[in-house]
Amino acid sequence: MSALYLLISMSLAVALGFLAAFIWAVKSHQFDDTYTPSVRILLDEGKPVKRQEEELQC
Amino acid sequence: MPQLHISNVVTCCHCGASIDSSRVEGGDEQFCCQGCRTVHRLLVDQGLDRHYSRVRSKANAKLPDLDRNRYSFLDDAAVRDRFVEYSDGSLVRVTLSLPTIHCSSCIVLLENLYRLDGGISSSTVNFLRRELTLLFDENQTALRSVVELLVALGYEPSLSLEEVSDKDSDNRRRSLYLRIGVAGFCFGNVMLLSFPEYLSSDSSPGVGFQRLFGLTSLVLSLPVLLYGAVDFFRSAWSAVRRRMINMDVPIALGIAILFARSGWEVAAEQGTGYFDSFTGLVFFLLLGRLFQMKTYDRLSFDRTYRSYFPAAVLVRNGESESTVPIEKLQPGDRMIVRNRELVPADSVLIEGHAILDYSFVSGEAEPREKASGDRIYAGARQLGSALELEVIRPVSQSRLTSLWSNEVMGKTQKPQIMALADRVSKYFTIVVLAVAVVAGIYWARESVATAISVTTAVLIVACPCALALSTPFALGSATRWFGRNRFFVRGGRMIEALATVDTVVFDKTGTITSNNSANLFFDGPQLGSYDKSLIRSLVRQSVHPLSRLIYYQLSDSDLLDVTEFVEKTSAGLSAIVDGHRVRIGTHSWAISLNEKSAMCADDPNRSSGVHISIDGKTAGQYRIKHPRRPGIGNLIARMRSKYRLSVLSGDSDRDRKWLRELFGDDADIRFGQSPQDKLEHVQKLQSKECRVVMVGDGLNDSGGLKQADVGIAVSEDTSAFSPACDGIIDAAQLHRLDSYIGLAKRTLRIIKISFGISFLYNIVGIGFAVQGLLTPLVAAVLMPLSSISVVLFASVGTSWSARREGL
Repeated sequence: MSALYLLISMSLAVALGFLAAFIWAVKSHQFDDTYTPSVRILLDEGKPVKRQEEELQC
Repeated sequence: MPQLHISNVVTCCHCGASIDSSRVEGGDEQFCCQGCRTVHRLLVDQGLDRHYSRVRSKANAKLPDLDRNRYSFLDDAAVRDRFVEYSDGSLVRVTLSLPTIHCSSCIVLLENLYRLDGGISSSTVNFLRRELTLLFDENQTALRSVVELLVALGYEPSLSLEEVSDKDSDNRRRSLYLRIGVAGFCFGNVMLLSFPEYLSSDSSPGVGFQRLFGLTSLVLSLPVLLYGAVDFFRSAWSAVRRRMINMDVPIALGIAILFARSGWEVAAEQGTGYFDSFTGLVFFLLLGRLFQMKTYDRLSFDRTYRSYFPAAVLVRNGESESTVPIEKLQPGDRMIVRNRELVPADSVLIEGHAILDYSFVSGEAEPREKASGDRIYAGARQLGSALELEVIRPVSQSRLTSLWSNEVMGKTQKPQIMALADRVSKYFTIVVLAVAVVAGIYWARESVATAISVTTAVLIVACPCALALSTPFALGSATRWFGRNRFFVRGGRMIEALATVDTVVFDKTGTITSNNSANLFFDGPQLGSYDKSLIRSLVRQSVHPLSRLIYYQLSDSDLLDVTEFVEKTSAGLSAIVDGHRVRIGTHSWAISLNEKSAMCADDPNRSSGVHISIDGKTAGQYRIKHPRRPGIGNLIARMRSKYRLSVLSGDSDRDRKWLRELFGDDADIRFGQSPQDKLEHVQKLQSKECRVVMVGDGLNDSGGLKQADVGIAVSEDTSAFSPACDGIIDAAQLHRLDSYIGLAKRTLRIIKISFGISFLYNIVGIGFAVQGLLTPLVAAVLMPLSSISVVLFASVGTSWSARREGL
């Protein structure tokens, strides 16, 4: 039963860590826009295209 | 035989404009200018052209003209500073509003700007707000080049005089998230620590642990009291100071007593207290606040006329032209206002064919033609080719500005309807205090300790958490339903106000009638196809909006040769088309051929008809009518019996007949109303104890919208300006106004019923409390149960009501 002292304090410490992470995330504006990131991960960017025709003509 | 000319129109590969002589070639494609070719090349090289074509297919087909000097005002340091948010050495951060962002390809394109301009280091899109935040290096590129690049891609930024700063609401939102985070954390942990208390049996940990858990719960509850619940205390205190009782007073009382009682119990080693109920209560209340906080980021309900105006205008000094911010316009400056642009300051017309649309400012439906030397007031929109105007008054002293800062307009007093919840909580608090005192007195006969225990128990359990939660959840739900149906309400309070209205005031121009699609119909003997070709060929030569309307109406007619074309301001057009003399214009011009009187402004025959004569013979006339919005007829028919109706129009009374037919004899229909008149009309109605909702679309309605109990702005395009109001309704949904009012009424009813439910819980709870049977377990069961059931009822009930109203 005395293990409870350790267990409770450890679990509180871990939970506090998560709370700190949440607070940091809110303060660094990560929750300001919750919509665009959800779209952004699905987008695919164009890649630069080499101008092959001009090279061939040289 | 008439000759047929078939026009073969080539369009620019990039922007879609039709290409004339200034054609630029690039590989297989054709462009209208070097700028388009450069940007197109850049997009192809970066592999972004696929996204661009998707963007273009939905956006406007034609990009605005990129005048060399249009954004030269951004070179000015003072102007640039206004847009810059943050500057660190050479890196500068700017946030621009781009109303034409509309799809995911826009996000790809805009977040890859760094590939199109080396000076830009990063760019981030906030899609819901239609904003772009850019970070760029001032040594490599300037704000002006960035803006010009955006325009070339089709994203013209809206750079208006007024900055709509949303920093406050962002901070409030973030602070609420933090409070919820802290409260949730504490709530979860305290709940865990309270379990032993609920499940106490012989194998329970023992008194030592009970003390530990109690103390830990106390410590964990401190942040909730001092940080999470602060707003409630603040609001309750400010209400009490004004000798009023609002919803937060019983909440603050309940929370304070809960904490005090529990703290005392733990300190005196008499138990673990009610910390689980305490933290849970605060957590749920904060969630309620969050639910009700639904905002519509890309709309603004507070814009004044300043965001209606552009940021800068073209000014001619001698031979050269420069773009000047409008606050810097001086009397004597010569400014150039082009097609579809706004006149920013009171001025005199020097040169150009002026056809001005004042509908947004004064409510007149018909554009007016002005001659050289006439005074032109700020706010008019030019519908024709470019004008040169001489400024007579700076923008801050224009007639429009003085209208807005007018004594009366500035001090409109919107009647304050106290929220239903606040009214109920007044009685609630008094009753609960009374019961608590009586119970205390009763038990005092036994022992003081029991008396205190019972009194505090009553105050704890009779907490209006259910009461406090029904309003935000019902209103939040209703706000979302309205939003889904494109009626954007400023806040939940407006829904309560909307539920109590009994009078509806409509504006005419732009509200009942549609400003966009003017209809043209022909009055006279049927026109043969040859005659139609003659007319079409003639109107093609003119840029007058009426000419263009006729041109598009006759789109399947052929085009013939035109010679001796003459266009006279305020009179009409004339030419020889395929050998025939065709005249189109006012009656005097086309028919009586009395050229002198055609110029006279008092010409009685100068009606809105466009008369046509071919070879001296009258061929008929075109009339323009601004059509009624579809569905309005039915809406009025449904509303006539239930509400008192009014129509206020800034226009002349030529529409009296059909308005009277539509609205019936009881309605109050007035014409020639100035913005001041509209405001006073609403005030008069309110002095007669009427609850008024006003529906309008323009600056001429803004006074009335502010004064009315609920002001609703009708908008064709929600990214455009709308006057200060409590709600914005999409023009296509206006015909369901009565369903919206119906939903508001039903929502209020739901709130009342959920009050009833919470009273039932309170009675049960108080029953336990006065008997001294309120253990922490009972409290922990009863309070969440009541909260959850009320929340469910409020949300589901509102959804059901919305379905019933057909939304």
